[in-house]
Amino acid sequence: MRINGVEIVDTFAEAFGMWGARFCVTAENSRWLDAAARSVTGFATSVIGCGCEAGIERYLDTSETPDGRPGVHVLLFTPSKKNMGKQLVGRIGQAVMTCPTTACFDALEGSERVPVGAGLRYFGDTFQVSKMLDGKRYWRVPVMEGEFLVSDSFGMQKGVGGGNFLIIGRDAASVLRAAEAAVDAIGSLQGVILPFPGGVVRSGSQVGSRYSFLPASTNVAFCPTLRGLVESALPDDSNSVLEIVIDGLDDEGVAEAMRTGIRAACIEGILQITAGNYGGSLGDHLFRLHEILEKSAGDGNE
Amino acid sequence: MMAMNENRSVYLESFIEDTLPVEAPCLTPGSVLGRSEKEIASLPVLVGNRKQKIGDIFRISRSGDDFLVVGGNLRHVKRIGQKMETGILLIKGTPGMHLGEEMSGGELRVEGDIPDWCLCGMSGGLAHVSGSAGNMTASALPGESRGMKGGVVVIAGNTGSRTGDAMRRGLIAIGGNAAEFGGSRMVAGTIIVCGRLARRAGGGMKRGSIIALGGVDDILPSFAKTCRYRPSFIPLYMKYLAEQGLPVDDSITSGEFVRWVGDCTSLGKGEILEHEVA
Repeated sequence: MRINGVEIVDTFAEAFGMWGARFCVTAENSRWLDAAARSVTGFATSVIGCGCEAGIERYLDTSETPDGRPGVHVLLFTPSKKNMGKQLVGRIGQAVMTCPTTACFDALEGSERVPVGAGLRYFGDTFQVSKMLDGKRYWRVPVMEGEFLVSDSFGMQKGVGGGNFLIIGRDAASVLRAAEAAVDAIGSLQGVILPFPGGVVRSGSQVGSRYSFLPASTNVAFCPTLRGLVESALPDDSNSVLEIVIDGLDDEGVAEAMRTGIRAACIEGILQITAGNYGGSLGDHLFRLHEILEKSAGDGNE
Repeated sequence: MMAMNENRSVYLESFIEDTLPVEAPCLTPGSVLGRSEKEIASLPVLVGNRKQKIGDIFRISRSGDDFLVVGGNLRHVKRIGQKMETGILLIKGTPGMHLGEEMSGGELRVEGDIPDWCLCGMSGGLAHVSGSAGNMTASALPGESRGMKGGVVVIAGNTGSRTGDAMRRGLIAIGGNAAEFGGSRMVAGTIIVCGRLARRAGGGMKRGSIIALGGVDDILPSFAKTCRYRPSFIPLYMKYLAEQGLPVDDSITSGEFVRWVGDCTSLGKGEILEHEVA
């Protein structure tokens, strides 16, 4: 399969089951909204090193937020239900409650609930106030600025982490351009996030290492500087690779994001699109590139 | 709020003309809907001290079982919707006292005013009154230490004194003014007054919030002024009130409130939030 002359390798991305939560952060203006959103999603690129993966799903219009202020939807993923509460309480407590003018609301209906405000309320030192409105409980926690408002519990659901594709090109500039185009295209979709910086990974990993103490190491097969030293997976003339990693609330969302991103990345200077996997034995969600792309009746298929 | 199609209802029209009090706790959607006209007609009521049947004082027409409509002369028909648990009950006109007493669910809509002692001891559901309400609305029953325990009461007009007395949980939203002692002895919950809040509000309250959007006549000396600020939860309530058809304008969500805490003769963790009227 080729799109705009770019070869799409007949392979699959191997992703894993995760638990996902969506919450809404609002603030008085975009300055403080950005500050809170960046802070709460900071250092959340990979569950291996950060304990969770998080990112901004989308910015919200004032008509879409519970309190009519500028807002943002954040998605956060953890490998286990147990870890979700810890991550939400820690991050919202440290990165949203501390930020001037903010409030934080649950934005995912679901029977699986994790207490968040119910834990953060104790910061109020017995002066916190509960409010129940339309079947939802909120906590008003007194803070030096005034009050911090937070939902009592947050919904979570089974999601998918680690959907991915790799962009292989002739030079670093072309690959970066393609990755940026993919990130921009995926940015218009809901239900997915790209947890890495700017949505792009340059240091994709392989399972294991020549060092016994490391569980993962650089993906040598895709490192252009190692061609000739190791068994390379790179085509001739390729000199740079970037990876897009996608987490989503469901399979369909991740597949749609991969489809959208891959199509956007097939530009001048790109030689090949492939995906990272472990042979299909570790992950429980397999996204076959050809199957995903065949579903789109797009232009440029060859 | 559910849309109502009156073509699919049970309609009971009172034709009683004397002023004898009628007690009709059987007039709930749960007791009436799903029954034949004959069965409905045989439901018991008390007229004065005499046991009678619904069919003796109400005309019954049944076109469906989606909801129950009660109309006609209802001024002396008490306890309509008492202990209602589910369904939709529409009252056309002004009913007698004890309407919706101890209701725990469903939707009760009144196209008219309600008298004293209505919605007392409510624990769930939605009550919506298009007119005004009398004294002791959604309050504690005599001898009870707890009043409203849950649910939502929306009064488009004014309310009488001691609205929400000893309220424990839930929301009372008043489109007009609230008379003296609103939220007296409150334990928790929220009362929002779009108009003016009369004096002695919150007397004896332990916790809970009384939000006065149209100014306060007077604050009891047992309340202390804490600060002027913009409570972040107010916009949520304003959005909800607007959905309920109450008058809310943008100046409320963007405006500041003075926070009074009290009543210090009680636990003292209640609050009156007084919107700064421009």
